[in-house]
This record gives sequence, structure tokens and C-alpha cells, in this order.
Amino acid sequence: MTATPAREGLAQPTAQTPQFRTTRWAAMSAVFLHQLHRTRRAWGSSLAAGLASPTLFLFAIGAGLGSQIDDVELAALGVDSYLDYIGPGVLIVTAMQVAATESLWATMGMLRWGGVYQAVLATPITSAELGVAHVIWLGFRALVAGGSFLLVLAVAGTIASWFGVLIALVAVLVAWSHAAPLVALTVGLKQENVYPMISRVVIFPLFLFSGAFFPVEDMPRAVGAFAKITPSWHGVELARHLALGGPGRVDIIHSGYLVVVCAAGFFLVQRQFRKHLDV
Amino acid sequence: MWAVVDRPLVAEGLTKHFGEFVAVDGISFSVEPGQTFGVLGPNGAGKSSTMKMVSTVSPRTGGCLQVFGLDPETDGRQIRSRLGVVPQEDILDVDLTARENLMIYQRYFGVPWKQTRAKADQLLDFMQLGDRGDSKVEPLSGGMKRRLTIARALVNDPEMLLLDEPTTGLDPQARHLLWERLYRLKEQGVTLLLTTHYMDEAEQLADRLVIMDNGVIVAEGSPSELISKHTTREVVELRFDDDEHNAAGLAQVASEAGLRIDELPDRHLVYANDGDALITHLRASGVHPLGTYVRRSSLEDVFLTLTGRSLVE
Repeated sequence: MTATPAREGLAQPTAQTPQFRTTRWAAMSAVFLHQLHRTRRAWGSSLAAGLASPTLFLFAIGAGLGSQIDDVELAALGVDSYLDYIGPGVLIVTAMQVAATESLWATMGMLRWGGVYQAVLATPITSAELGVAHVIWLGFRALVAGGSFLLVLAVAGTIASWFGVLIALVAVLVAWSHAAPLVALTVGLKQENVYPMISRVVIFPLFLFSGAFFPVEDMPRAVGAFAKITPSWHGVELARHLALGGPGRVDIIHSGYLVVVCAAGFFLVQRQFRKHLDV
Repeated sequence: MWAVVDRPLVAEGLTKHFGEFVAVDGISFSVEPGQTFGVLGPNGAGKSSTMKMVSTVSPRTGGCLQVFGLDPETDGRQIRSRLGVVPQEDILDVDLTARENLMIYQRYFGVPWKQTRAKADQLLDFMQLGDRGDSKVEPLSGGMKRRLTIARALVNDPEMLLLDEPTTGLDPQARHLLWERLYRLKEQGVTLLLTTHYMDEAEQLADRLVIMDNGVIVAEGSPSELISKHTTREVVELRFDDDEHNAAGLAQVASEAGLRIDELPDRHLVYANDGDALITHLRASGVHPLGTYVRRSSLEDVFLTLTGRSLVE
């Protein structure tokens, strides 16, 4: 038997056990680190761009349109100014939009043949874990976008209570509840030609009818009833109650609903990733 | 059964269906530790499907498959932690530098972050990319990208390295550099499983190989065994003008000597153990080809003999 020469660039072939423990969490945290690294050069610009649009919205609609709303109507909304009314809502729909956008094109870029995730699947991570870790990451994107906008709201004086800090978490739940089904859809698509339609027919109406700008009760009954099953409406309501300092019993329902939608979404993502990537 | 566990790869009656389509149709083979095992065949032969099953990414439809004595269906994570995979496309992360590609990839194997840089630099050096660590992926040449992809497949010190058509699309120089590196890995005891549709690559690298066609194995052996069993030592390539007389004369000589001829669109191949002697004999018999070329017979010829088709269309 001849001796094996020392491996340059490689350790000696190890025994039957791998060198390091490659647990589920180690692999999933690698997705997070990976994304953090590949996007870090763009964080500055995406943060600025991400803040500009909700801030413009807030002041154009809140202060501009808000000046047309009289005190009686504001009292009916339960706020002192229209800015206070829409602030938390704009934050939530922004988080939703960030997550939705990243769930479509950016995710397709990672997944499609030639995409980086194809190489990642050769590592100890499983397809289901990859899907879950990716959606968790998208929640983080929304957390950063939502968290920084929360600072803008605080500076603008629209956050009346320390409960307002929790709005960042609501943003994450809302982001997950949209990202999960969209990522689950994306993994099964060969082409992104349905994306513009999803943006127009799904995401934009969710943005408008989330209750961020006006109470959904003011809409035709059917539309209002539909709005109330969307996670974005539950998120907006919850965020507004937190901002105004009075989370109540109904907010247990709002947060519970969001948690259930997220759980279902994560389940769906795992199923779809297994179905489409383990072939 | 004891021996089976020691082998890094054993397949028995392995099949893969995609709906009605049968990509792999009951193949059996095994790979010894430290061996370089080639899977050869044209596009669509079932090579990549086989590789995907071995790399545990694609579940098998039927048959038995053991990688390191483990079942890919239930022990995928454990198998992948000991495998290196070089896919057909490079799929490197173009938003990262060469070094970052290697550092981040190690995290998926659970290597502590602080250790990833040293390992990345070691592998960059090994793959002769030492001065490219800070470069983005895009400006690298095709050969460099390929070497970076192989470096990435080595981050976990794999016991077995899977290479799916490692030199497709590379120029000869890049190909030879790659062969040399792969040979080095083999010397270091790494088991290599590679697919290729290049006969010279299989001859260069493989200790043993199987030839696949339409999802089945049509021949198995060492490159030299396959050549001696399925073809002659040499092959004479002859080009003729349109004159029927020459082709007929060739057929006559070949049938008298019991030699096999393959007629290709632009040339005739004659399988003979002594090519020069055959040419002399042809000329003496009044056959005058426009051009003659005597070469060592290769796996290309084996494939042609076995399937009646040329490998590289």
C-alpha cells in the first residue's frame, strides 16, 4: 500500500464523519449570511430608495390630502391628524411591497437554472430549509425597511407609545405572509411573465385596500369584507393600534391571524421547494 | 455485503423516470475508493440524471443506490456534507468576489466563519487563482470560472468529487490545466466521478468507465480494455474523391482481410491493427485515397462500434 501524499489545499481525507456539524440551523443561517454579503454593497442605496417613497407618500398624502380632512372626520378615525392615521399603515404596506418585490424577481434570479441556489442545493441544506431560510431573509429586508421608516414616523411625532416599537415585528409578519406564498409560486415558475400581472392585480390592490389610507368600512361591503381577510389589513390595524398606544383585545385576533397565515405560508414554501427542486 | 459499505458509490438497477420518459433505465455499477470513474455518453444518455441522483438532489425512481454506504433518500444531508459537486454550469455568485464565493459556501457546511478565509486562500492557490481572490466573478476567463467552481466543490474536503462535463467549452490549454489539477486530486486520494462526452478526457483521467446510451450502460471497463475489446489498435481514416472505384476497392480489400469499415459523410474509417500496412496494401490493390490518416483508436471508436453512431455529432 502506498502512502497518500499530503493534500495541498485539502485536508487529509477524514474518517466517516464530516469535519464540522452541518446542522439545519448552520445551513439556514448560511443563507442569511450569504444574502447579507451579496446585497451589502447595495444596502445604502436600497435603504435610501426604500425610505424615499414611503416618506413622500406620508407627507404628500398625510399632510397634503390630510389638510382637506376636518376635525370631525379625524375624530371619527380616532386620531388628531391624518398623518397619525396613515403613518403606521404606510409602514406596513411598504414592508409588504418590499417583501413582494423581492419574492418575485430577486427570488427568481436566485432559483432559476444558473441561479446561485442551484449550487447551494449541493451543500448539506435541504430544499425545504432553503425555502424557509430565504423567506426569513425577506422578512429581514422588510424589517430593515420598516424599522428605518419607523424612525421617520417617530421623528414626525406620529408614534404616541413605546408599543410602537412592536410595529417593526408586525412588518415582519406581514412581509412573511406575502413573501411565503409568492416565493412558493416562484419556485414552480419557469418564466416570470406572470409577474407584472401579480404586481398589478394582487400587490397594488392589496396596497390600496389595506386600510392604510381610509377605513375599509367606507368601501362597498363586498370589498370591505374581502379586505378584512387580507393579512395586510390585519397588519395595518395592529400597527395603528400599537402606534396610538392602545393595543386591545382585538389585536390578539389580528396578531393571531398573521401568525397563522405565516405558518401556512412557511408550510407551503417547504412543500413547493421539495416538489420543484427535488426532481 | 461488507465490501459494499467501503465503496463510495454502488448502484444496482438504478432507474430514473420523468413522467413517461425513462432517463436512466436500470444501470448497475460501483466505484472503488480513490478511483476515477468516468460516465461517458452523448447528450441525453442519462449521465446528468445519474449524477443528480448520486448528489442526492434528485430522488431515484427505482433500484438501489448507496453513497458512502448511505441511502440518498434518507441520509442526503450526511452524504452531501462529504461530497463535492461540480455542476455543468458554473453558477458562481456574481455579486461576490472569488474569495467570498469560497468563504460563504463553507458556511453551508458549518465551517466557522473565522476559518473560512484561510481555507478559501488555500483553495485559490491550489486552483492557481491565488491572485484572483479579490476579483469579481464576471471578469474571470472560462477556465478560471471553472477552476473556481472546482475550488468551491472542495471547501468541505470531499471524499468524492462529482464532475459533470468539467471541460465542456474550455480551450485546450485550459482543459489541460484542469486535467492536471484533477490528476493531483486523484493522487491525494479523492475519488472522482466524472461525466464527459469527450473520449480523450475519459482516456486521460478515468481508471474505469461506463459508456451510456439511451439510459443504459452499453459497455464497461478500463479505457484500454474497452478499446481492445470493441475496436482495433489503430484506425485509418481515408478520404476519397467521388470515384466509385476507390470505395468499391476498399470494400473488397477490407472484406478479404476481415476488417470493419464505418462510412461517415466525409470519410471512411477502417479498423486495423497496423494502419500503415493497410495503406500500403490498398495502394498495391489500386485504391488511391485523396488523404490518409492513421491514428490510435479511441473511445470515440468504441462508441461508434457499440451504437453505430458518432459521439460528437
